[in-house]
Amino acid sequence: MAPTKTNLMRIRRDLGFASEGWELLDQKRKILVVELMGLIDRAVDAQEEVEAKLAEAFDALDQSMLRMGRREVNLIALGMNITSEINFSEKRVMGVSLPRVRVEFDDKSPYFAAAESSIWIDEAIGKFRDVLQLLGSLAEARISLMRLSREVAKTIRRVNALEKIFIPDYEKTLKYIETAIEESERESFFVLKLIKDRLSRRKGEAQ
Amino acid sequence: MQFYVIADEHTVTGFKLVGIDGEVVESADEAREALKKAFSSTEIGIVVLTEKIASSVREEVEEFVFGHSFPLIIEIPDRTGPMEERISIRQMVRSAVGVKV
Repeated sequence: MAPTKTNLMRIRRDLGFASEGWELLDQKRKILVVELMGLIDRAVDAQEEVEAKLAEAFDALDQSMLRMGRREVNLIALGMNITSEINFSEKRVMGVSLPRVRVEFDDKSPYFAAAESSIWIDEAIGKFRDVLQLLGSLAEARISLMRLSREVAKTIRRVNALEKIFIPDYEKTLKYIETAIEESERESFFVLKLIKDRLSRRKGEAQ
Repeated sequence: MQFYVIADEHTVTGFKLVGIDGEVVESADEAREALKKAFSSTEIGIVVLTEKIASSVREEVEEFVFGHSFPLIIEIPDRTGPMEERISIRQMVRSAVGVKV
């Protein structure tokens, strides 16, 4: 790049822009990381809850199959009239869209139609219902986590590119131009001085 | 929107008790087919896979999760409990972010 005043001004402006961008991105990164940390704990909790509840639900299902027979359980399953509805909304954090999930049941208890169904099946149904509710929060936390961590990765890459490549590059160019301009200013100052000297000497000779 | 379960028979039966539709799959190919069907439905909001099935079609699952916003996909253990070699949530985040968090 030619060491001219125009270029100097341009580089100064670019450097200012890059530093500002770096600051903003760094802030964004910090906010995202805070959000991410909170979400990790929530997702881990949700996963543990789902797994504990699911194990209970499977136990209850096994029990009812044992006592009522697999066929009977399957029949009841076919005749179930619980309906659920998932409602999605979204939350935006720093431009990342995170899902909010709500699971709603349209309950028509008692759950069973058959008179001979036991309390076992009732328990299994209740447990699986709880699992479903928890799955909503797990889905919310897990998907949010994946989207957020990708955004964090992207932001870190950008912050690093600015910090390690663009800003040092601009600073180097700026330094180079500044030195070159200073150098040429000194030179022209010296030339001016020389001319002045010669002029005054010539004036002295003429007198 | 609805849940949809792609799993072994036992898991599908369990969720059927609470009115959730599902499909029993026994091989990776069947799982792929079922996923394709589930992804093209507009009624399905969350697809529930068992960890075993998800790991048999890992590529398809990842590709979908990162490329689309709906439906959401979650993985649950089957009757035998969590898989030993599964990726924990913390590991997942660590590899996605590229640094330790």
